[in-house]
Amino acid sequence: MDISAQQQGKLWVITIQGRLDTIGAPEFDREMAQYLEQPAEGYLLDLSGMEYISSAGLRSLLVMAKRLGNTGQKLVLCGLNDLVNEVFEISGFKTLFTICQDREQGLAQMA
Amino acid sequence: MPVAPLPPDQVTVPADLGHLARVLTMVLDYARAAGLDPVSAVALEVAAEEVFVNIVNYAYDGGAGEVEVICRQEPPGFLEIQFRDRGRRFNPLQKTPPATTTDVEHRQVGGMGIPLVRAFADQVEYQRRDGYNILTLRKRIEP
Repeated sequence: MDISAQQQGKLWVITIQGRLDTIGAPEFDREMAQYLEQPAEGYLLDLSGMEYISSAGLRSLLVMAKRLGNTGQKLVLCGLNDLVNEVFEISGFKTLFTICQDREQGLAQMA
Repeated sequence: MPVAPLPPDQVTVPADLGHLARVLTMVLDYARAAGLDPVSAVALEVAAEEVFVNIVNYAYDGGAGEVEVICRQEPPGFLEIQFRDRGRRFNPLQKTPPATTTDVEHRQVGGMGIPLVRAFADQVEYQRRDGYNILTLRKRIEP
């Protein structure tokens, strides 16, 4: 799993590539913890390169969402593929998160 | 869709995360070879991960032990993935899943593994027999 980030004004766009599974989730948690220390109005997670997610990944995303909820920072996800979309539907995460089609929509959502 | 059913495939690995990839590769390859569409095949891979990780975490109380994973095209029109371990009696299906309708603040962390298994497999069955936990997933293969 690869994580990269770029600042866009007061937002961070974080790109996740690969698998957010039991193996990748701890690394995700560690890297996100670092990015969450930076000041930001919000985070856009671009998941278009994330091909796979399991419950471990859901857990990591929820923990991140809870943290940002506490501080009033925005979190938007974009680029969910069919599998990820199904996982989100089943777990009820579709209604927990703000989800957009792509980066452009995601950034517009956060403006 | 293959004309003749696939021969079974199986692997026996230690119950630790270092062997997760090996198990999932087998499951995904078998599912695709059996004619399952790409999204359903990966969904089954997710289900297999959830089952295997539960076994790693609970069956041997985090200690050493083996897991046997068997893929079969049986009964006709179905794909079956079976997990067998010799750990303590452990039925992962008994846990109550968390509520899915609450907001982020109130949503319980964790516990989504078995709901995903139930959603991505058509049948899920647990048995305890001869000192083994046996968890069986079945998925219908559309013609």
